[in-house]
Amino acid sequence: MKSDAVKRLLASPVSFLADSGPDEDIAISSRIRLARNLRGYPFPCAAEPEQLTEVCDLVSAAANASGSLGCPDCFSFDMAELPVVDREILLERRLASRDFIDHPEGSRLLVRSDESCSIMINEEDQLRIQVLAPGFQLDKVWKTINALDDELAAHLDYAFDDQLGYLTCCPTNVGTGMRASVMLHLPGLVMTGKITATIHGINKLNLAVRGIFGEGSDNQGNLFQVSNQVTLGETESGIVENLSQVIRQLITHEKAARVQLLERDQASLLDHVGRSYGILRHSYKLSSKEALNCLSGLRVGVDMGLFNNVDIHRVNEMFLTIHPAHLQKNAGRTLSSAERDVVRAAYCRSQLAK
Amino acid sequence: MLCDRCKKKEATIHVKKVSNGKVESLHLCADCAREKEEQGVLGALGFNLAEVLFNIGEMAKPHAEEDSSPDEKKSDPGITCPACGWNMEKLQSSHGRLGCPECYRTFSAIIGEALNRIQRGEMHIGKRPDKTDPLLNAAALRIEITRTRKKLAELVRREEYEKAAVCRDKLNALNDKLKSLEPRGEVSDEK
Repeated sequence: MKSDAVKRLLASPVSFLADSGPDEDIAISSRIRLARNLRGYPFPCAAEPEQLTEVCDLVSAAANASGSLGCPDCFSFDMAELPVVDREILLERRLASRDFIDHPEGSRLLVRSDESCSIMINEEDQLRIQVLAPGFQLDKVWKTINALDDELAAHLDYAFDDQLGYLTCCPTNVGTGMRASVMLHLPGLVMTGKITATIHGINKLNLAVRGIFGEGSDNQGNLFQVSNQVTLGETESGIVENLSQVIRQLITHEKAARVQLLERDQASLLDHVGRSYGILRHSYKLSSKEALNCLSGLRVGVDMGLFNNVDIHRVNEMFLTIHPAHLQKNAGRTLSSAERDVVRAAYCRSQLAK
Repeated sequence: MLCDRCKKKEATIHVKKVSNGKVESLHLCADCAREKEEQGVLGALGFNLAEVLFNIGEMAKPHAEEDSSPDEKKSDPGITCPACGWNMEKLQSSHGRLGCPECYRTFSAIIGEALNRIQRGEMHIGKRPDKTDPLLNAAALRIEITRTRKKLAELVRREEYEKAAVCRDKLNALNDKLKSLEPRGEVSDEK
């Protein structure tokens, strides 16, 4: 039955990738998560199995009572009951963390039907509330998650300290318990060789940058996530404001880098875009690395208006659906690495033939 | 090498601390190290792995010398949380994670030290669950107002007037918010 729910999830478009959002040519999605725990219960790493179950039920009851996430008509997954491939699907769709799916005992995931909001119960903290939206719109995401948090707080007794704020399992999250991030597509900065200096600069501002698929020179798909590090001593809106300011600058720099590429070496840029499209449209074996890099090249082409027949949202979704669990779930069976490359190529051909 | 503190026993714990660009070294025997650890002097003993994970800058880095026996390292787990039984050993083995909300009180010395390094300030000034006293929120607002005022002065000093204008508006908004929390006034000194 639970597996059916994962199938239903797969059949519906991922709203944070499929819908339009501000600055979506560069910013793919905005996300905020809040870490919360309940007074009187140990954190999940120190809890007994029955305490984990109790917390799951308390949070589910709070979500149902408040109607948060559209519950009780939301998805509810008891992680230990799901097969590995289904858990991987939830990870690939950014609804669950690696740590969460690797330790499924006693944890539950609540997801709104459009996947825009979710709660991981018994991850590192008892509640990891998450809101995801397309494009660059941290302000809106903060409003949504703030309201969601208030709804839940009316039914739950959060562990809170006057001095330290929301108490979290790791002191790196204490205070607001908030991590805000934006996923950016930065091929211009990568191709002009400015990405390392950019990352260096951002790190100095107490923000973290990481490649979504691989770090440094091993980065694939030119996708980066920028997030706040500090959670104590700043207000939530202050965190959002600081991060937004940096994101706006990054978007400006990326646009300038793309213009620079067009002006200085237009042929190389067009060649890169054209080859990327060609490989995705016509190849019969495609590794994950090659597919990610080609999708990045194709996305630049779409942003530049070179492909009228390819929708940017379809490209966004392909960044996610070319991963192993999605390929295997869609194929209905376990695939070896070599088989996946063949299935991935067929999938990309079919998507671009639409 | 003899212990820097008691000058009697062999030093087996070596701490290197970087502060303001200066490297300070401290060499201690196991007993003296334990004593200092209990006083919270060594700081952040449990968060050495968290430091690596979260790239949170230089911290005290105590490490036992190879020739000290494993038993010696494990012999005294130090402080234990009365609510969940968490101790220094678990703190380290769980990458700096705590066992329960009460652990913040139990390990306040080393947590305070760590928070000083990794966070901005030691006081939460963000949202609170609805049920708490709104006046406490005013206290947090005052901290933010003080900080914003300093930031504004710095921006004016650097002649970054556009940013200063944004900062001034923010300061005004914060003052208004404080007034709305304390409708009877008493915030005149904040402007």
